[in-house]
Amino acid sequence: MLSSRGAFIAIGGILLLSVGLSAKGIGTVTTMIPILFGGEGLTQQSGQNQTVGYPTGMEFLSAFEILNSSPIVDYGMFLGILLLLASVIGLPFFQASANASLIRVTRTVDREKAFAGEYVHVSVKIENTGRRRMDFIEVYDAIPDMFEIVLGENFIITQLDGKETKEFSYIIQVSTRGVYQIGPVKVIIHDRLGFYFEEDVRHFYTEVLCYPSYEDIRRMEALSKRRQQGKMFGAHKTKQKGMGDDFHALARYYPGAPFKSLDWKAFSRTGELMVREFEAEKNIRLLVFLDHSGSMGAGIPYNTKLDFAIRSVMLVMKMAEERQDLFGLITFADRPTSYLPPGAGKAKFFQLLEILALVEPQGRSDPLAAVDYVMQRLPRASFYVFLTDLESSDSEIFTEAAKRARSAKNKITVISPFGPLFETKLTDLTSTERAIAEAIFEEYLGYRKQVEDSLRGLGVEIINVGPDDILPNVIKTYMKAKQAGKGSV
Amino acid sequence: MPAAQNTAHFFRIIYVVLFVFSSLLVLFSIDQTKMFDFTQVFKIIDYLMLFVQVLLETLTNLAINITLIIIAAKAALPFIGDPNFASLNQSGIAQIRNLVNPLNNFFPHSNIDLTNPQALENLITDFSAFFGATTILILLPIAILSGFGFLREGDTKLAIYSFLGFQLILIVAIFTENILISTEINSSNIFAMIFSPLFTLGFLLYLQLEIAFQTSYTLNILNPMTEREKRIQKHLARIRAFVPKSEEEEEGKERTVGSMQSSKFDLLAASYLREMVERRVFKTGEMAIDAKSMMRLQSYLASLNQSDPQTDLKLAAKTAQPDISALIKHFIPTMIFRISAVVLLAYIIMSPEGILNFFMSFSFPALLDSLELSQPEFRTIAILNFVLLFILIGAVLHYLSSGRTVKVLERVVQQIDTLVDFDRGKPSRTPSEGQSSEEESVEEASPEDQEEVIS
Repeated sequence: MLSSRGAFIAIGGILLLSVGLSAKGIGTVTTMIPILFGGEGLTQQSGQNQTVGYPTGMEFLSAFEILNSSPIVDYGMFLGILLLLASVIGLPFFQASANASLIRVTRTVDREKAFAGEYVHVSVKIENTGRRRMDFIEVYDAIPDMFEIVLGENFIITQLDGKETKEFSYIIQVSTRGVYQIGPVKVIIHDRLGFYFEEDVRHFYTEVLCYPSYEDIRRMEALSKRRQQGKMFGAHKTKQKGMGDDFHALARYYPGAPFKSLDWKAFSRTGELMVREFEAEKNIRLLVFLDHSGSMGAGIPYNTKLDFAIRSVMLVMKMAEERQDLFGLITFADRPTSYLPPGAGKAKFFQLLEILALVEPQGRSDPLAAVDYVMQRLPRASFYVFLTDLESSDSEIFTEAAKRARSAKNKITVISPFGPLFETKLTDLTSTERAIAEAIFEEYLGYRKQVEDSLRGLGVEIINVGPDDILPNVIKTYMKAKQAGKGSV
Repeated sequence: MPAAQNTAHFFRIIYVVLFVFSSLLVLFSIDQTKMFDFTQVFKIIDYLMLFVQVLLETLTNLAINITLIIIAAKAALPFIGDPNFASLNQSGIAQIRNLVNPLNNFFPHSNIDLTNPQALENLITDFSAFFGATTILILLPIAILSGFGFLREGDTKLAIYSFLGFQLILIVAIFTENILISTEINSSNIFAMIFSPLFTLGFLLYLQLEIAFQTSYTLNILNPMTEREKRIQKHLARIRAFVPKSEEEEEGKERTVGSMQSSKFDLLAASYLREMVERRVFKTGEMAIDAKSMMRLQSYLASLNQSDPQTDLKLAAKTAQPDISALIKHFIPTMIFRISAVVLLAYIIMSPEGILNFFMSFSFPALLDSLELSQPEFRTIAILNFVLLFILIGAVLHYLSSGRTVKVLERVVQQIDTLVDFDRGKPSRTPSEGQSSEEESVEEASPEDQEEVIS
C-alpha cells in the first residue's frame, strides 16, 4: 500500500513530531527539576526579583531552556505535520482510481507451436476498464527461463487514461522442447509521487509447445539438395530391382521373362534380346519404441540420452515420411505413455513431433508392457526399433519383450545409447578419474553383455551408440531395413 | 523524442529555481558570523586540555595514595627487607605531586576555572555552539551537492538527502540560536502562518521535495520508454540491414592481412599468422551461428510485418508511450490542489483550538477555550485523527471501487490446441475455458488415424 518512499516521508513526519514533543517535554523537565529538587526555582520565581534560579549543581540546565521556548517545538511539529499530511492526503484519490482489478490484460502469441530455436511474437494488450486515469502503471509479463527475449521487452511503464488500451510486444526464442507457460502477469499501479502502490498478480498463462529442434532435418535436407546437384557423387543408395515403375537397368533376356519387358530398341542396337528391369517399391512399417525412463535423462543438460534419442527419432521419421513408409511411435517408461499407430503423411509427422516435445525422463523401464500394448493393437508384422539404454530394468524383461515381439514375426533392432559415453568424455578426465570411469565402463559392459547375449539369441540386432554416432546409426538401421524389406507392408 | 526531454527539462527547471531560492534563503537565515567563528575551536581545545588535566590529576592522586599505603605498610611491618620498599619516601611523593602543579609548566594547563559556578553552564553553551556550527558546516555542502546530484541523476534519494540536510540545518540553527530570521510561527490566522518566515522557508523546502518527486515521476515514466524505443528501433534497423558475409570473402580478407604481415616480419608474422588462424577457427563458428539466427530473425520479422504492419511500433512500445501533454496538463492543477490542501490542514492542526472547541462543545463543554488545547499534545491528537480519517476514506473508496469488479482468482491457462493429447499433469480446467482441446481433436480426426491416449 504505502511504498518505501511514502513510508519514509510518514516516518520522517512521525520522527519530527516526536522531536517537537520531546523538546517540549525536556523543556518542561528543565522547569520542573529546580522546583522538585531544590525548591529554589519556585521560591525565586515567586519572589520579589522574579529571577530564575537553579539549585546548586544544576545550573547547567539553563542551557536547555531554549527547548522550553516555542520555535524548536513549533518547527518540529510543523514539519512533522506537513510530512505526515503529505504522505496521506493523496491516499483517498489513489484508492478511488487505482484498482488493479480494473486493468484487463490480454496476451496473444503468433504461434502456439514452434521448433526449438524458432521465434515467437508475444503481444500484450492492457486496458483500463475504469473511467479514472492511472498515472503510473507497470506491467510485467513473466516468461519461462528457457525463453530468451531477442527483441522488445516483456514489461512496460506507462500511464493509462480511462477506457484506454495500450499494447506492446516482444519476440522470444524458444530453446528446448516441451510445453511452456508464458505468465503470470504482474500489474503495479503507483501514484504520481510514488507514495502508494497497489500490485496484482494475474495467473493468466499462455501455453507454447516447443518441438524438438528441426536443425538435424534441415541439415539432412541441405545434404540431399547437394546430392541432387551432383555434389555428392557416389553417395546414392542402390535400390532393389523388382516390380516397381522406376527404370533400373537393361539385362539380358532370360527364359520366363515377360515379353512386355523386352526392349526392342536395345535389341535392334545390340542384336541381343534385352529386357527392362524396374526398381522395387517396398514400403516398410516402422515402429519406434522410445524408452523415456529416468536413466535416459542422464547426461549433459539438453544433450542427454533422451535428447539424442528424440533427435534420432525425428530424423528417421522424417526420412520415412518422405519415402512414404508407415511410421509409428510408442513411448514408454514403467508403462506405455503414448502411442502413435504406424501411418504416413505430414499430419502424422506433426503428431509425432507433439509427442516428442513432451517426453520427459521418468520412472523405470518396462519394454514388455509396451510390446504387449502394441501387439494388442497392431497385429501385422513390423520393424521394431527400440531406443533404450537397457539400464532401468532387468535383463529378463527385455528378453521376454523380444520373445513376444519375435513370436509375431516382427523384426527387432535395439539401438542402445551407452550411458557413460553421454555423461563424460574420457579425454577430459584426470588419470585417477579415468581409472574410475574405466571401471564403471567395465561394469556397464558386463551387464550389457548379459542382456545382449540373451537378445542376440533371439535374432535381435543390438547397436551400442554414443553421442557421436547415434544419428548415423539410426539412419543406417532404417536404410538397411528398407533395403532388406524388414517389416515390409 | 525531444518532447519527452523537454517535459523532463520543464520539471527540472522548476526544481532548479526552487532549489536555488530555498538554498539561498537558508544560507542567509543563518548567522554566518557565529557559524564561521573559529575561536570556538580554541575554546574546545581548552576544554580538551582541561579533560587531560583532570585525568592526570586523578591518576596522580591515585599514585600518591597507593604510595602512602605502601609507606604505611612499611612502617607497620619493619621486617620487610625489600630494597624497593626501602627506596619509597615522602620526597618521592612531592615529586609526583609537582608533576601536576600548574606552576611547573611541565605541560600547558587549561585556563578554565572549575571552581567558578558558571563553568559547567559555559561548557554546555560552548559545546552547543561548536556542535551547531560544525554540524551546519558539514550539512550545508551535503545538502547542496545532493540537490545538484538529483538534477544530474534524477534519483529521488538525493532530493530527500538535500531536503533533510536543509531541515536539519534549520533545526540546529534554531537550537543553537544561530538563526537570523524570526523563529515564531504565528498560527493566529492562516495568512499570518503562511507569511511567518520560518514557515515559508520550511514550506519552500517541502515544495522543492514535492517537485523533485514530480520530476522523478516524469523521468521514470518517460526515460525508459524513450530509451526503449530508440534501442529497439536501432536493433530493428540493424537486423534489417544485415547481410551475411560469405565464408570465402572472410577467408580472403584474413589471408591478405596475414600475407602482408608475414612479408614484413618473420617471427612476429609467424606468431600473428598462427593467432589469426586460431582465431579464425572460432570466428567462423560464431559467425555462422550469428549469421544464421540473424537471417532467421530477419525473415521472421518480415513475415510479422506482412501480417501486421504495426509490429515495429508494438515492439518499440511506441503505441504505449505516455501522453506528454497530459503529464503537464495534470501536473499544475494536481499540485496546486495538493499544496493548498496540505497548507490548510497544517494550519488547522497547528492551531487546533477552533476545531477542538467545536467538538468539545458537544462532548466536554467544560474544556471549551482551555489553554491546554493549544499545547503540542493536542496537535498530535489532531494530526492522528486526520491521518486515520484519510486512511479510512481511502479504505472505503477502495472497497467501493473494487466491489464493482469481480476478481478472477482462478488460474487461467490458454491451452494449446494439440493434435494429440499427452499424459501430463494439467491444471484443473475452469468452466469458463469451454470445450477442451482434447475433445475437439477427437472430433476432427478420423478413427483410423487417431492416436491413442494412454492413461
